[in-house]
Amino acid sequence: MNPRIKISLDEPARSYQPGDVLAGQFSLEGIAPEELRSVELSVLWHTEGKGEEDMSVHFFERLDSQNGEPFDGRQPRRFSTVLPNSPLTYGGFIVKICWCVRVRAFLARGKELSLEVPFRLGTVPNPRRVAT
Amino acid sequence: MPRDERFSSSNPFSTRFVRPGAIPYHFPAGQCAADLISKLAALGWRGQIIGPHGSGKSTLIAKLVEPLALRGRPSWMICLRDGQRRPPFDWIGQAEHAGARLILVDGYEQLGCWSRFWLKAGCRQRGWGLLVTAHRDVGLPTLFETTTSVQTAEAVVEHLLPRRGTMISRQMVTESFAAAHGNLREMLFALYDHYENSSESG
Repeated sequence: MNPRIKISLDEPARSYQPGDVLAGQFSLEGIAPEELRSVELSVLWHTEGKGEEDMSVHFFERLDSQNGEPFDGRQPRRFSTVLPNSPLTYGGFIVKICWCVRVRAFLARGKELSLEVPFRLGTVPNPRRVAT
Repeated sequence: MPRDERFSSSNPFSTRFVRPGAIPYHFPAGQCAADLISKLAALGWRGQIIGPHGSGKSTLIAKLVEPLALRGRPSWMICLRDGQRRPPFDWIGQAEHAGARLILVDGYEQLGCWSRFWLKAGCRQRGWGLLVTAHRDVGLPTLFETTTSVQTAEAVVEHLLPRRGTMISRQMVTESFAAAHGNLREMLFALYDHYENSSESG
C-alpha cells in the first residue's frame, strides 16, 4: 500500500463561523510505526495570489515517539480547536485568504509526506459577484 | 503540497505553486541535474547560470540544492532582490552554521563590485564553491544558459494544471508566452489572470 495521509473533518460541508469548534481526525495509511519519526498537525491560514505569501498557524500539535514507543499513525487521531474571529476566508482576484488543516509526516531517511484539507471560515461573499 | 481540492478555490498559478523550488526545471533533452553537478565539479565548484528574465534561473538553482547535498556539497543560498547591493549581514556565519561547502547566489548582478569581490574572497578563503545566477556574464565559468520555448511553457502548465480542460487552452499558453516575449514568469502571471477570469465566468 502506498503511504498516504487521511484527514476528515466532522463537518462535511467544511464551512465554519468564528468561534465554532473545528474537529476531525487523521490517520496515516501504509506507514509502519518504525518508519515514522513524527507527525505535525496544523490549522492555519495563508494568502494566495501573485505576490509573496503570508501565513499564520492557529493551532499546532506535534506527535512523536514517547518513552521509546513508536507513534502508530495508523490509529485515527482526533483533534479539535476553537476557530478565531479572523481572518475570514476571502476569494479575491489578486489575493485570497485560505484556511486549511495540514498534516505533515516525517519519515525515516528524511522523507516527508503532507496533505492539506481546505475549509471555509466565515461567509464573506465573493467580491467579484458582489461587484457585478 | 498535495491538497484535497474539493473545497479549494486555489489558483494553480499562485506564487506558492510557481515560486522557485515548487516546480521542476525542464531540462533540454539529454541533460539533467546530475550532469550539471558533474560539470560544476569539473569547473572547481565555481560557475554561473545565465539567461534572460523569466527563463528559469532561480528555478534551476533551487532545484540543484538537494542533488548537491547528495553529492557531498551542502549549499547555502543567498537570494538577492531588486536593488540589494550587498549580501545579508553575517552570511558567512549563517553558511558556516549550515555546514555549507558551496554558496549559491540568485541574482548576483544585484551586488556591487566590492560586494562581489568580498563574496568571492570569502568563499575562496574557506574553500567554498560559488554558483551564481545572472542575466549576463559576470566573469565566472558558465555552467548553463537558460532559455525558454513554447514546449517548456507547455510542460510547466501541464505540471501545474494536469487536468487543464477548457480553462487554459493550448492556444492561450502559446499566446501568453508570445505576449510575454518568452518570459515564463510573466506568462504565469498572465495565466493567473486568465484562470481567475475563467473560473469566475465558468
